[in-house]
Amino acid sequence: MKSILNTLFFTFLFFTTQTTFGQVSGQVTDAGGDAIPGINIVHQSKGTGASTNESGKYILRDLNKGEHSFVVSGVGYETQVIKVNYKGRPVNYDIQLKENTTTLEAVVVEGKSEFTEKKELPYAVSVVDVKPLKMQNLDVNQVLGRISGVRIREDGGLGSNFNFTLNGFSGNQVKFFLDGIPMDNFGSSLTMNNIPVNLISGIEVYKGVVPVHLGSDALGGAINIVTNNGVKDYLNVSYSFGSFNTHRASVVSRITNESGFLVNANGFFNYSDNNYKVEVSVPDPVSGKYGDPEELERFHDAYRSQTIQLEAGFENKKFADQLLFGLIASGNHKEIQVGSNMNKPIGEAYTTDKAIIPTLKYKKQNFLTNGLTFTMNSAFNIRQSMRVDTASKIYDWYGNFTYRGVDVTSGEISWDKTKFRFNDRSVMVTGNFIYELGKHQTLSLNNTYSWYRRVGEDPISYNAVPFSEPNFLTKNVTGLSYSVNLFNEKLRTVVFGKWLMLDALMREDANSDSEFELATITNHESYGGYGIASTYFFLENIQIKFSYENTYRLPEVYEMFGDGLLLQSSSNIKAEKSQNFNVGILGRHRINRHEFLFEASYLYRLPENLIRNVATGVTSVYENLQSAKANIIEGGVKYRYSELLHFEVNGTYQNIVNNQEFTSTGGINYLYGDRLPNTPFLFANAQAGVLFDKVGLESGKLGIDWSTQFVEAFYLKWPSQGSAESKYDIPRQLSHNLSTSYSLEDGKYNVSLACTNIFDSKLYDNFMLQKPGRAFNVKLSYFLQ
Amino acid sequence: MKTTILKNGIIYMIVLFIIGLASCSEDEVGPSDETDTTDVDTTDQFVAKYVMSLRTQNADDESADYFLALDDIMSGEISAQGQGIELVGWNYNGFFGDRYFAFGYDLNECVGYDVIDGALVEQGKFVFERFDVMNAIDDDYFMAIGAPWGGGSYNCQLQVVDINDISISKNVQHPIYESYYYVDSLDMDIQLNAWPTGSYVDGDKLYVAFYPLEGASWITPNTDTAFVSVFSYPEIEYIKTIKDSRTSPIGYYGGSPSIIEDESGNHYTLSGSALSTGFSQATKPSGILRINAGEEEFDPEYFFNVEAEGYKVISGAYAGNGLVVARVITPQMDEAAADVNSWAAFSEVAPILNVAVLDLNNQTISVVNEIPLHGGQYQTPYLVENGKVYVSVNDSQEAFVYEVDAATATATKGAKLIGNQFQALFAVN
Repeated sequence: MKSILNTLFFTFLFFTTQTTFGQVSGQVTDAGGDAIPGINIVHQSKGTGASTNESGKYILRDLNKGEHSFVVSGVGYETQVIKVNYKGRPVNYDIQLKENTTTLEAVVVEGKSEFTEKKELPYAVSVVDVKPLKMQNLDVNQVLGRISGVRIREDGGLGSNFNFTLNGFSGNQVKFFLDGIPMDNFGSSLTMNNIPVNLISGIEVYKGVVPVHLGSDALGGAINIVTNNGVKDYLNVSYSFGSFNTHRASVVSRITNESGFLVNANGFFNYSDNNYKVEVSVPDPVSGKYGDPEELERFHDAYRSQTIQLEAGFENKKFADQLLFGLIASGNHKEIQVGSNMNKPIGEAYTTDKAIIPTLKYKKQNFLTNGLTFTMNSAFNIRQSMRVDTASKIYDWYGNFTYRGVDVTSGEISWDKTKFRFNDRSVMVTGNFIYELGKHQTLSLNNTYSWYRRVGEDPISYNAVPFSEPNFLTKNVTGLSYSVNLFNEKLRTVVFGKWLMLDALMREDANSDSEFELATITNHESYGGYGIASTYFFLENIQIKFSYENTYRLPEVYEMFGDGLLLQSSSNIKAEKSQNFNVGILGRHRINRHEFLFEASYLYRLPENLIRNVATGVTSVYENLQSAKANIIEGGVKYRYSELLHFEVNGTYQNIVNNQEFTSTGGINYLYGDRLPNTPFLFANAQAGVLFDKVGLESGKLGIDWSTQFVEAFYLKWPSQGSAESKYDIPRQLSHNLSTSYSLEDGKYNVSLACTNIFDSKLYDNFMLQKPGRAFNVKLSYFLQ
Repeated sequence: MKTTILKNGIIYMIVLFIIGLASCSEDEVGPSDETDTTDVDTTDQFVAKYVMSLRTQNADDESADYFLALDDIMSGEISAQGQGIELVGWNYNGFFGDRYFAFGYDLNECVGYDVIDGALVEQGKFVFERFDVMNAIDDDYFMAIGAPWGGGSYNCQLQVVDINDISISKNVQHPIYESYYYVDSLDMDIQLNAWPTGSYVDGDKLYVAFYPLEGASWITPNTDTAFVSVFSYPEIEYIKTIKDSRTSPIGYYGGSPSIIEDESGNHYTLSGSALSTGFSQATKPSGILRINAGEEEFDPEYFFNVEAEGYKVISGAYAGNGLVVARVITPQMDEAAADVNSWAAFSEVAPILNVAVLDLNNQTISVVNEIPLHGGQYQTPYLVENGKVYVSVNDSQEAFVYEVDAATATATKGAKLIGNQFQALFAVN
């Protein structure tokens, strides 16, 4: 509790000097001529800007000569784009805004916010504007889970292991970015399930083709989380508490000095006991026979994570549009409740993860020459992740234990008692050049370099410790893309090529001749990928999209290095490959206060050489084994009536089948054409909400939101094999959530009350791993701009 | 004003609804119940003569085994397509008393089935901690030994399973062998682990064969002695360990049959001395020793040096009249395969093994030429019926049932498996 308070009262005081050299200034008024405070005026390409003060006045500084576009937006008003031709002398530009007669999101659509623009790109991309969701108490995973094509399979409650699947691709096949920086090396202390929604302004989900500027080896798409930017000064403090002793607190703030010096300071804290009830049958300790099913609490599943992120630097200076030095410090502690299956509850083992990540971000437009934008992001990562498993005990679901009779040197899960930790060091540098060749053509070049060093250490092991000598993995991805807009921007096309390189140095046991000798193995591989994405607006509001790519995913550290014990290293493993085709249609239509939006896509994927784990003897190894074929259809519609009512439904059907005609040794593969097991194939989401104005107080707004998620049952093992009655499955999931929120003064004060899984259904994403039942939480937040 | 009242009314209702949910009773919307009372396609003529566990593909996370009741294994194709009871994940199997058991390692669960009206019907199940080697005791009980995993731990779980009740009735924790040390290359005394490979009960004694392991690793520093520990039965108290240095340890990891009983109750033990079965060295010839009925020592008069006949024998089944149908490997093939993978004899699709008929009395080997080189298996199922032995043969391209006639050392190709092996084959009595 003390650390919650510490985080809550983590405040920042900066004294800034006021200077008055305005370059573009003016006043924003409404139709009646009254000044409007709190309107944002944001530079369309830079994302920087200002907001109006109490008397509706704004000042924009540090503009280069030339034409600039600004997006003028504010809650309750229709967004406008203004163009200013700045010639070096101060300009006065007054703006009159119309009151918004449509909806919050209509503002976004009409104003072509950054997110709408992304949606209009040729890529198959889903864009989530998080702003409207902030009133509700959601985490990033919950927000992502509402997008068509996305399934997040969680083992349990807050902080639990999760598997993100995007159109059938999962795990490392989908890459995550935070403001364009790959999250691979951040570790488990900074992931989708602990970043607070308050920190972010939007999420871009690329299905298939990933833009070159997110340089990566993604096989099946990428997620880029965009944090708040464009707003100069703000403070957002939130705290929520709820069922299972769950607490979350976050402080997100930015202070910008008139001279362009800025500080971002964010802190967040999450805690939960996760002691929700699950249905289990406890076996008799002697005979092994199951007892009757009982509802028992999970007793060793607490999770705690905390992160502090500080950034300081300059904006809109001669030497840089943005130069930020940052430091992320994060850590988590997670108890393990279940071992390999539900018959083995765990009572003491836990994992921890700590990371310190200095970062550097640099951005400059007109770098060296006019029209060239240079961006560089880099991060150095010092990380330790530890697994502690030192109890030779067997727990039951009542929380009682007995000491092991055999395997007295084993832990609860591990072969040997362990305090094994990885000490990882990694460096990631990404550089991006964008060169605008006139108005309609853009060339971009990206290079992402990563270097990874892993050392293993176990102070209590008397056996050989995996990675006692360092293993190294170096990856480099270079991408070049050319985009062109033709026919009055109706046809937009991007072609790109990628070159991927991997260098590994690993050490493994020299085949049993001596227990103490390590052999050094090196591996070098390189691959070339390419693709095209195109979109055409055949009506002003309707566009079609097409993309194709031939892409690779390089093997990960653990797939290549193994775990040093039962998972053998696989030095000659190859990259996974996939060909992805997407076609889609996107449209929107408005009749007075009614607004409709629809999207539909067809995706065809041909992944090859998929990396799978295979057992022989007592060990297992990752091999390039499987090929698949995916036919995916997804679509969604949205409807809004003014600000009052909104409704959205989307669904995904993905038929992903085994496309391996022959086995690895040349025999006929009897599972050819069979749908991949343990993979959801049909799922849907629906949401509806209302927002009332002037409730209680004049500035009071009340929102009520309902959401429903549906996932059809799917088989654990290959569907064609075995009789239907005997087959194990992950049962159909239908869950409903309800939340209500009340805000005052344009969201300055906000309180929300939510109930998830309101019918207390037994929900499973993974075989036998029951998720939380009905839960309640309350979120309080304060936003100051 | 009217609208404000209306709005506030809605707010109160919603808030009350949410609070009300907190106190309302449990609502059962559960997953579909998984009942395992499945029957295989039954036609009027169908009489279940065999129970087979079919494995469709290599053992990985997605594979499962399927229990099928069959009336014919010598013609056509055997497939689990749309039929058979799914045994979740990786399984061993056993046929004890008149009951079929599946030992599943995804859930650490043993499920017992009976054949009723031509179909397999689940009769009960229980949870185990470790089951590595399962062998018959009598019609009411079988033995399941759990081995210590990892170094520094030596107790085995010697468990007696009640066949009728489908539960563990006795669990004795004791090392199979207490006092084996060796000195490693750093001059450290290391107590070796003992891995059980097979057991039998003769009168009031339980015999357990094992092989020594480094423990933390799977290195085998001692391969020049065959070991069998003797316990009292049913008390299961350790008595002694008998040794014979004419050959290597008996059996290997994974519980393939390495102890054979003849018509007069004598037991023969198979020592493989094979590198491809996970041994890190081979220092004695592969061979067969004998423990006579009622005796507690190896018969010093009997030793069949199999390797002198050009083969190593890794597992086998007694076909009657002193004949054993066995899987064998040439020393050259063994060495070459182990260079690639030290557990090569567990790969269904690495064709390195032959089937041969061993004559225990005349000490001769006849390789069965009709059976191609084929891959090995975990637990290695052999079904013996009327002097014929049925084996699963995968030449890396296709898998078939083969019927071996022990008397003539010839074989007939039977049904094609729509899968890569059978992991169990039992006759229905």
